[in-house]
Amino acid sequence: MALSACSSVGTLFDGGGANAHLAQVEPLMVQHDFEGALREGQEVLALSPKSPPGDEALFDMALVFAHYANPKKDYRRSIGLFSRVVKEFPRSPRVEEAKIWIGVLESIEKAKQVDADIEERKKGLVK
Amino acid sequence: MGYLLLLILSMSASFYAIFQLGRIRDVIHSIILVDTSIVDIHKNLTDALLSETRYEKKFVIMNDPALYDGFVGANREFEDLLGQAVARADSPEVKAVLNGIEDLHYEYRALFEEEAGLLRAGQRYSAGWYAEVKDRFINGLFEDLAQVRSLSQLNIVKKITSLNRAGASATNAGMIITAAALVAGIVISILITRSITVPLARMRKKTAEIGSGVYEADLELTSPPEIGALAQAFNFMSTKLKEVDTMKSDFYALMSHELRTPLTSIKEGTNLFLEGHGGPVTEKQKRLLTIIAEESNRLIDLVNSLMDLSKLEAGMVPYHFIEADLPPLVARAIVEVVPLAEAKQIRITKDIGEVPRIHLDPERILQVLRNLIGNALKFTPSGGSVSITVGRREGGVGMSVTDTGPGIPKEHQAAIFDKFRQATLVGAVKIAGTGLGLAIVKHIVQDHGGTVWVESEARQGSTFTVVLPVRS
Repeated sequence: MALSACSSVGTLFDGGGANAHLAQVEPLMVQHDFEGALREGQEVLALSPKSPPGDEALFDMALVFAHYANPKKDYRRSIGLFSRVVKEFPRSPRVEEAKIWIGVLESIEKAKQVDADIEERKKGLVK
Repeated sequence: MGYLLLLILSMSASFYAIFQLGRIRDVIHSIILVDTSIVDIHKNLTDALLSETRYEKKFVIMNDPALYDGFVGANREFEDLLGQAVARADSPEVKAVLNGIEDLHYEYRALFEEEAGLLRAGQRYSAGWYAEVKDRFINGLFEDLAQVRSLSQLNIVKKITSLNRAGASATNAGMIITAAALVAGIVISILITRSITVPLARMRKKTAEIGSGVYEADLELTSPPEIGALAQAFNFMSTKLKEVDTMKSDFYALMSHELRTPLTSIKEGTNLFLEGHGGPVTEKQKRLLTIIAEESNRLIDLVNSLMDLSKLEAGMVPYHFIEADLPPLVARAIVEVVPLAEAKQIRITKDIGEVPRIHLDPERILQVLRNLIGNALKFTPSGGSVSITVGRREGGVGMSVTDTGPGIPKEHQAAIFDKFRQATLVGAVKIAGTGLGLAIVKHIVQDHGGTVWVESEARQGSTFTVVLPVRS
């Protein structure tokens, strides 16, 4: 759903270089070229840091870090990018979606922390 | 009694060993079923509590009903395990701690249920406070579980220590009882053996006395009962033998007395015929009368010997003991037999040493000398010799009569002093005799407190030795 949203936005505002770069992000992600996708996203941010399609670029980059196949998957960085969408682009249509992602990823991180704490306690008990 | 003592000792050792083994088995059973089981349950309780905590915390984060179900499952498992631990615990301390865990766990569950209710209702609440209180409960539960494990391990150590003590005590007691049983066994065996061998030795001695003609029924043995009964039978046999012997002696004395008078009449009548008082006697009649006279003399000698022996055995011979020298008696006895020796061409030699005076009855000792020297002459072939020796011997004065006769076989030497027993002589023809002379010698010597024996080798002659005691 997010990926399809990304492509539709790129089609609507295809008038500058930023949109051209944004249009490359999704195909690269589908090809599992995550480095390339991030690079294209950075190009978009460099061209539109405070305006659309900068929000789309941040959203797509957040998805790259949350992607199940990304070997450099990083939920913390993903949460950070989704948070930037919410803070830096409060009127973006991606804000609500970003909030949902933040909630899900934070739950996952907290659960991971719970597991880590439990394992730590278990080790302490074994000693 | 001895066997009973041994049986009691053995049974005591067995019962003690069974008791200690039962105790050790109970303690090991308790360690396996209670303490090690509680230690295992402790591990499972800890895992269940960790699982419960994991589900509880994740449910608070995610509000996912599946996580709540996971919490309920882990909670049930914890309660089941706790129930098992409470049922198996045998120590009051462990039971107390387990009851504390039950209460604390109940409070933890109640608090979580309260928080879950708030979460499901979507109400705002102080999650931090709930987290803090739950953590306090969880920490308390883990501390209590650790205490249960420590107490169980301590119980195991205590029980193993008591096992060690029981084992050491059983070993010591076993060794003491075994040693006591061994000593008692040895002592009882010795006593039992002695209780059998001592009476048997006395019976053997008494048998030897009976063999030598002493029939006193004085064997007093009371235990063991079987030996006592045997001794009574033995005494009965001695009494009967004595009666028979007395009857026999009486019979000999009576018959001897009854025979001697008619024999004397026959002898005197024969002599009168030989002297011609009955008229002229032909040569043939004279030879027959001479044979009758010689046989009468032999019968009179036999009867006299029988009478002497019967009196000796009955203790009816009066002794007239005096302090006297032995050499003159020996010389007299030799003089009496010189004609017979000369007739048989036997040389008589004598070796008389310095000897003290001794306590004796001269007539009886003369009878001994006559018998011994007469026997020597009787059994020594013509041309042989008889030597008589008198000297000091250990314990008294000894006198030996040595001949160059055929000798007496070893197997007959012990019997020749018995009455009616004449030795079978080596290579010699049977020589007529009463068979009572040596029995009379033995009686007289023994009545003087002395001893008599024979030493003889086949075809090398015999030596009869008499030792009479010297009064100190």
